[in-house]
Amino acid sequence: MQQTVVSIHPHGLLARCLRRQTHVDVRSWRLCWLLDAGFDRDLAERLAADPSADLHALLELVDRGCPPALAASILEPVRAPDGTP
Amino acid sequence: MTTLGRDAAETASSGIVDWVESLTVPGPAQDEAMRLLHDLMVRAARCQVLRMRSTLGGVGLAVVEEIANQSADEAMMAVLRKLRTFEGRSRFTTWAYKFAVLQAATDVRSRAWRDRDVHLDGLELLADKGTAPEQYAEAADLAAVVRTAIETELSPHQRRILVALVVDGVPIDVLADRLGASRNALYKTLHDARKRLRAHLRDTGHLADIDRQAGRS
Repeated sequence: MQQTVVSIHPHGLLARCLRRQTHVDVRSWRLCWLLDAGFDRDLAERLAADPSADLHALLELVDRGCPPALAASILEPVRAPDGTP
Repeated sequence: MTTLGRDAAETASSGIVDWVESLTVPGPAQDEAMRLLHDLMVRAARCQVLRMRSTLGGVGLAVVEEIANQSADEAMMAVLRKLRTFEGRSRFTTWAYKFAVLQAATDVRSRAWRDRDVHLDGLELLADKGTAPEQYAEAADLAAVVRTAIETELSPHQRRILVALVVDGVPIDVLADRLGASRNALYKTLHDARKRLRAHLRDTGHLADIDRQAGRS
């Protein structure tokens, strides 16, 4: 069967990021999503490594025009004075 | 054996008439009920994992057993948490069995996707050339319109979610787990994305074509 291929994201940053990874574990995958959304690398790496960080909520805030760093601050779990969440 | 048949057999062999009470009131009867419930959870989970084993890339029985036990533990916790919501509309063991089956299915899907890459460069909308030329032209046109709509009408995050769930076929619980989000949140985003796409297709006069191809009036 012949097919015509219409790519949706032939040159997307996310695609390039994922392609660069030799082995895409969940952390690398999360990192790529954050970088694609415009997070700077340090912040992206911190959030990617934190399983309690809700990337979906973060990226929705960014979608609505919230700067990534502010989105991260807004959604950061409130911690008690002793550092516990 | 059917679920109901197994259920009757479970009750008969366990001798437990009121599971909720047996699992709630501390004492030797509770210990025994816990043990029997866990056995049931393991059997149900094992059965489901074996059913879905082909998605795990030919893993051995040790891995099947590992997943089944892990799922059974999770399912048992869920059953105990929801014990008060059991209304007796089915046998208790039938009700509990479903927890293990669902948990095992979720765990197998998660495991199958755990280390899998989610490519975006392989995302394609395909127009089948095997059909008549005019149908092919229509399909190609529609594919191009949908692609454009995905690129222009959706927000970046809506696009990522739609592509992952719909085009790449990532199970929603796996995507939710990876993102650290709830499934409901993803459903909402997917729903909004679809609504935008439909609105765009309607505005550009393509929705009637889609409905016609789907056999809807």
